[in-house]
Amino acid sequence: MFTAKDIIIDAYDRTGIFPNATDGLPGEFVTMGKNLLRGLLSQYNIRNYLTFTQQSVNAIADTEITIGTNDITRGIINTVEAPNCSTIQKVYWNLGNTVNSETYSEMKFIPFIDFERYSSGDQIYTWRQINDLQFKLNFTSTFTNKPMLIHYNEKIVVELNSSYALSDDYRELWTLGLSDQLLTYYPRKDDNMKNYVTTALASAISNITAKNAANRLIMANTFSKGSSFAYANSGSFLYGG
Amino acid sequence: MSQQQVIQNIVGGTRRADMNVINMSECQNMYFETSGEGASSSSLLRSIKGLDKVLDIDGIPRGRFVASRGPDGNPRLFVVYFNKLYVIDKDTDTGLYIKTFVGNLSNITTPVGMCETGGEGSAHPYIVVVDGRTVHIASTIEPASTIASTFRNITLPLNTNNQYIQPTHCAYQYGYLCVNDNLSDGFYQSYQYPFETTDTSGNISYDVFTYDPLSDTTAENGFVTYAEWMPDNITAMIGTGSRMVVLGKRSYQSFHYNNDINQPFVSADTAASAIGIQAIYSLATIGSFTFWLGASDIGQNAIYVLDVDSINRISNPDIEREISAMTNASDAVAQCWVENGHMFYSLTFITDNKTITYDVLEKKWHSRVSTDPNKNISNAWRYNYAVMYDNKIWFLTTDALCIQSNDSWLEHDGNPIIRLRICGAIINDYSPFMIDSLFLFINNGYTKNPIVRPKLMLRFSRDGTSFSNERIGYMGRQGEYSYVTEFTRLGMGRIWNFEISCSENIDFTLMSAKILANVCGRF
Repeated sequence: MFTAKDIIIDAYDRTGIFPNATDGLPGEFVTMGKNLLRGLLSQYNIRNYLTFTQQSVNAIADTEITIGTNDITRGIINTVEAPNCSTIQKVYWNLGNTVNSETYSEMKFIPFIDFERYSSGDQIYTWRQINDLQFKLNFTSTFTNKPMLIHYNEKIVVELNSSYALSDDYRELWTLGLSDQLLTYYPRKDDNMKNYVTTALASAISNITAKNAANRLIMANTFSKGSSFAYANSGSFLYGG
Repeated sequence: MSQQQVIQNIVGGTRRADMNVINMSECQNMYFETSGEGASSSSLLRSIKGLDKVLDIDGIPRGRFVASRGPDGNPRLFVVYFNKLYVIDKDTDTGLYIKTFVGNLSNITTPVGMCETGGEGSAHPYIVVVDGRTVHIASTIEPASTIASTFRNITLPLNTNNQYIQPTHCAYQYGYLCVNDNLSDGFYQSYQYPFETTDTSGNISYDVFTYDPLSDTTAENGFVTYAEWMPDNITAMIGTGSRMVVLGKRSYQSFHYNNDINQPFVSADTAASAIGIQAIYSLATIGSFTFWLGASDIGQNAIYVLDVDSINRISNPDIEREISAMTNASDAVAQCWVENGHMFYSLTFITDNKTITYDVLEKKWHSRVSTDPNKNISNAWRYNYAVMYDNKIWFLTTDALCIQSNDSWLEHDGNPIIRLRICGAIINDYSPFMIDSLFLFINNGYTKNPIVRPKLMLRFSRDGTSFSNERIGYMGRQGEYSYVTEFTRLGMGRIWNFEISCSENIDFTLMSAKILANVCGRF
């Protein structure tokens, strides 16, 4: 358990910009740290470094549905509610046509502008963000009323007191990431520190991604092609399969 | 690579501005000294010395004077505590100092003026004490056993308003005892030496102000000289040997001796100026120098030194701003002494509880502080009325008579003396820079106690902010001369001020400092 403030203080401490901030960081430095951390975590989230933000939700497909955060005061009611959704990662078609079925087939993502090029029977979908709370998904008419499993990432909230019940490797990753950002924002004339942090950050990212590799969430993203164990075992890479 | 950089202004005097970002320089209980040829640093800050108690004397001290001749022909120290005048003698057998009660003064607490009349043999030398109401005398050559019998008051003359004059200051010049009158612009002198006269009836007359031995008449209005340059009351006067300076609220005037019995003191046309005195007891003299806290149109809140006939302002605008912000600067009490060639003028503001000290040799100010033993509060320095006697520098403080100690850096009752230095602003063209390490060049290893590992404290301020939490550093045990006093990882800032303080019973000397720093590539 740690807070955004811990990360900010640690990062200022390690970079030597504001070490031993037991008497408190000046406000402008805290704000700068918070903003940099927010941007950093948003990037990490999109890159899927943050496994704990990954969520899925069941939905019934239609030619057009919305997914996202409901906000009654603004009159926003989504077809499918997915609180704090920040990006759609994958959509799977539930082949068994029931929610409890365990047989899925991946829907292929097509950019919105190319969507009409495909025929109504293709196993494709598209999504685009239409405002801060809503994502719009389109399916071909064949898939109307088919059950879908939508994978999305929640957005990560960064306020000073936001606390995160996460493991140490995330804490380390964030601290190093923020340190790297701070050393870019407050560059020292000598870049020993920057080089050190960059190296340590690369190593932390590789640790995080390697950890996730076993779950096949971070590695090259295709099921059929990539560095999965099954792929390696088949030997198909040897003859260009 | 980080750059190593010697900090030039870690050593210096007090010059604290009213805004932190301008200047925070402060030097507390340490004084600046330019190092000699071949020294490891061009200048350093030395600790003020500790004090040893010599005698317990009850009450608040009010004045002291060393008379030139005692019963054995050697100088003799007189001190005033509360309403009592004491003489301090040294027992030649035991080497101990003994106090003897001489007489009672008026029961008030303001400082007294003291001087001696000189003379020897039948023309007895007298110590003179004025306390704002009365002039008291006592023979300085009378042994301790009988000195109290020589204590007497002198009849005061009436001024032109038919009031008894109110002498707060006195001076003895060329055989004349002179006292001021707080109520008029005249000062009164006695008839010339000898001091005591046998009148025609065979009685010894001590009424030197009102008895004229030449005409054997009583002159009720005394012998008066008016300081006519500006008609302000003479609130203070002092004799420097060659000159007698009288001061009022709006002007000062310097007199010199004139060999004419009707007009013994005259003043040159140029020997006056519209610089008055704000605190009458801020007047102090040593050698040919006379110091005071100024008043009036051009001199308000400034501190001046008069060297024979040339006057100089020694205060700076920061000190003057500080004095002008005080609630009552007029109760300041001054003292002067010389210590290893440093001529100190120290001014203690009673109401505002603050002591500032000027070093004539180095032309720099420092502050002196007695820290409250129970709370972290800086009070005015408790020691006043410095005087050189028996080759020692003596100080008077409440309930005790003290001398400067050679091997202790504690106050006379064991309270620590907090030596503190806030260095000048450290900048690098106003660019932010990161200090990875601060190294203090101090006298590591020079402690008398082999067990104690002396500590010091660092706080720092970035960009004029309030000071950080304290960090404790060490100074090396006895003999650890190569111990490195270092504070690492201080962070980034544009304007840095370090506060270094030490309360250990050691001769803390700050010579220089160095930082390991790295400029940051942004504004």
